[in-house]
Amino acid sequence: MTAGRFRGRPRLLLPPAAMLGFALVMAGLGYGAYRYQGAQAQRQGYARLNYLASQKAARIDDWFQERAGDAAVTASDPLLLDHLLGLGPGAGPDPALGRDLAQRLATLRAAYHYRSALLLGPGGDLLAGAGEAALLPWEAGALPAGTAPAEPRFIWEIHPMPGGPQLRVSCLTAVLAGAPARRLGTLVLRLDVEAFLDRVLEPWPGPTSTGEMLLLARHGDSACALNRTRLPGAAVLSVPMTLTERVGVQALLKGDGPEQGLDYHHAVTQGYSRRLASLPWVVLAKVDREEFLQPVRQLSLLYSGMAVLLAGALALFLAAWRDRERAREAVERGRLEAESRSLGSQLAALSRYSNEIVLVLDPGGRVLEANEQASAAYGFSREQLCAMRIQQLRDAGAVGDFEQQFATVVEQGAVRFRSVHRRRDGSRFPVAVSSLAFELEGRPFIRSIVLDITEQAQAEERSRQLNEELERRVAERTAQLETAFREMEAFSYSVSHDLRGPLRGIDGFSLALLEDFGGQLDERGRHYLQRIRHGTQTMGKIMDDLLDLARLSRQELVRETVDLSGQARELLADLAGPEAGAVQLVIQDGLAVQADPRLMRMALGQLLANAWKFAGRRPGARIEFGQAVPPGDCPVFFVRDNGVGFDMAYAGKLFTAFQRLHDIAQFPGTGIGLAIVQRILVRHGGRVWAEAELDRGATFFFSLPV
Amino acid sequence: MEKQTILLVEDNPDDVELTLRVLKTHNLANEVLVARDGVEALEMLHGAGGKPPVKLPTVVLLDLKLPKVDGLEVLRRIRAEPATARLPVVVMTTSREERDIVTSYELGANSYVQKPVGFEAFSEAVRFLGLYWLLLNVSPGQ
Repeated sequence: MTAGRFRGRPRLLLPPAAMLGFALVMAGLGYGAYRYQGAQAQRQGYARLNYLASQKAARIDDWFQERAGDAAVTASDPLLLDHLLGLGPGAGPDPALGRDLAQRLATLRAAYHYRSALLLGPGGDLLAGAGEAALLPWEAGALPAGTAPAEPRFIWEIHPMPGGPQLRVSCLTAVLAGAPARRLGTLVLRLDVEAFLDRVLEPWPGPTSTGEMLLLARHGDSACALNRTRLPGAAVLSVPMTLTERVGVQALLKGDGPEQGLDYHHAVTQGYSRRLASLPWVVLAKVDREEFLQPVRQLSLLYSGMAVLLAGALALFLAAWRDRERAREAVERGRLEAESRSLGSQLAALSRYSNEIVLVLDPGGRVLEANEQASAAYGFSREQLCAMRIQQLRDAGAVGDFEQQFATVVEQGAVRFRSVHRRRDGSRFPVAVSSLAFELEGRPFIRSIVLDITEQAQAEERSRQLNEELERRVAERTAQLETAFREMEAFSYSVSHDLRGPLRGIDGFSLALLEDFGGQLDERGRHYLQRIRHGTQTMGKIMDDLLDLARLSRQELVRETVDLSGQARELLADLAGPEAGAVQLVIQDGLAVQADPRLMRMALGQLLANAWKFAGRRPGARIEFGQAVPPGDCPVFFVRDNGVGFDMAYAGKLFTAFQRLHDIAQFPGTGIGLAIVQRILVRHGGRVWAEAELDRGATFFFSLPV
Repeated sequence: MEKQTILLVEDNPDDVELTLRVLKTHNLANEVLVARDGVEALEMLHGAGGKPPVKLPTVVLLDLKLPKVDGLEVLRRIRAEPATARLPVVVMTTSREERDIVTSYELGANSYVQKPVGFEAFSEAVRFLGLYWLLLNVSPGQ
């Protein structure tokens, strides 16, 4: 769950990052678009101004061409020529001709709305005219008569009328005659700017607040606006050509192109100028920069607005995202907390009613939580425990390196160990501790389950004591047994040496007595000596058997494969002696066991000797050795004879030393043989038993473990 | 026939007398020396206190259970001394203990004879030993 939360972190940051990236890209694109659109708008602005200026210039050109045409036609009028030609030196003007001329000029003026139509004589004197008759001095001398060349034929000039604000355009046309042509006079057509130019120039297509069209011309060192400006007073605008910052001056200096400069309001102005084709005048279409940049500004405003909107949207989005994430985290946290709480309460419940001591520690060993059992066991309240360190609960003498155990649980996550803890009253108790490291909200903790093992330890101690006691007893018994063995050995040795010696002496000297002094004794005396000798020899035999029996207990067993069939055959052959054939012998072939060969020979020998003793002298005697069937877990062998047998009521006494079931005179023996057999088989882990019937023979069985 | 001697090392006077009786009966020994304990036997064989050793016997009949120095020790010292290293020694004892038999042979006994209780068998054993060692056997020293 924790890992999942960590994994989820990049996912959390992705949308805002993407959003921010998107916003940056959009801003970049927007800025680019703004720059492009701005440049485009400027270009469009200039193109529009260019268009306006070109159109106006063309119209003015046309108009002037027309007027020039009119003037040329009028100047070629024969009436004019005649009139002028009639003015010879000394000849007065023809009054009739003069009237016609005046009539013609009046008609011309009226037809084309000229302010004036005047004919000047060769001396610049007014010959005839219609309209405003006032002749301006520059008009009189502009085209002096008589002199060649013919050019210029036309002079256009804009000028104010003396004593008034009105502007006039004067078109001076030379009246030519003869070849080569010479000037006879000047036709002056004077126009009202207000009535004409202003009508042409003023209308600004489309709405504008600062758009203005100027027709500019240079007058000496001044730049003049030929049309009326929005200058208050409608005065003729005239500025020195040296003011190159003025847009009008620039237009006159450069012409035919975009212009930027100050206008007569000293406002920054953007314009486009176009020279006229027919006159050295320039049409300038201009607007204030404010207005010119209006589209760009609008565009920038639009983009700014969009950027603001975008930023706002982004901010809103981020805020919403953050809120959502926070909400999600809060939900997740709530879920985790709830889980942790429920887990915690489960654990707490588990711990509280646990029979073991449960402690929660921090990695420094400080007790953070302790259950009821802990309070009961240590004798401290939960609050007291929570102010302690685990080291304080440990007995100072406890074995084991505390630091190492603690390091182990922190490193490996879990550890089990034994220790000794101390109660409040100072008493100690042994404990088995199982510590587990766990993490909660990213912090490591250790939970130790402490089991009071006092009873277990006591049981172990008791068990240990018992073991010790047992071992001590075993050692004691062993020592006693060893002593007994040693004593028995000494006894055996003593018997074999010290008792046999005197016996031999009794027997030897009895014999010597018989041999040397037998003649001096009567039959009874010799009989007694025989009885003495018989007794000593029997006693010697008994001592030998007893020593064999004693030796069996301490003799080491050497196990190897023993050919029982072969041994039985040899032993019976020895028993039979030279007179073989009197007894029927049945020996099963191939019987073998893992046993001590010498001891097995002794046991088998005893059994066969017994059989021989009890059956051998009877007619039809038969002795059998074989393996009983079924074999069972371990092989069972038997020695069977058809001799005198015995009463099964006494079977229990068979294998006890010195117990005899038969008359010693008839069947001599020491009574130790079967005891030896039993001792040998028991030492091999086997057993021996017998089945018999009086006078019907006996069968001795013995089994040996495989 | 060269004079044959037997050294009988035996502390039991009964056995000494009975053994001598058998040897005499069968006319087996010209001379029988008797040592009553191990020390005496060794003194006779190796000499002691300026007393020279007796002439080496043809055979030594050695009982194991002896006062002072026991028979096995006597045997060891006989074999340890170059002069007597090859002297025929017959262990004659009442012991049937296997360890006595094994130790005896390990120490270089030439024979090991158990003295039976029955005197006839004993007599037979002594007679046989006397015959074998005194009449039939060719000792390395001869």
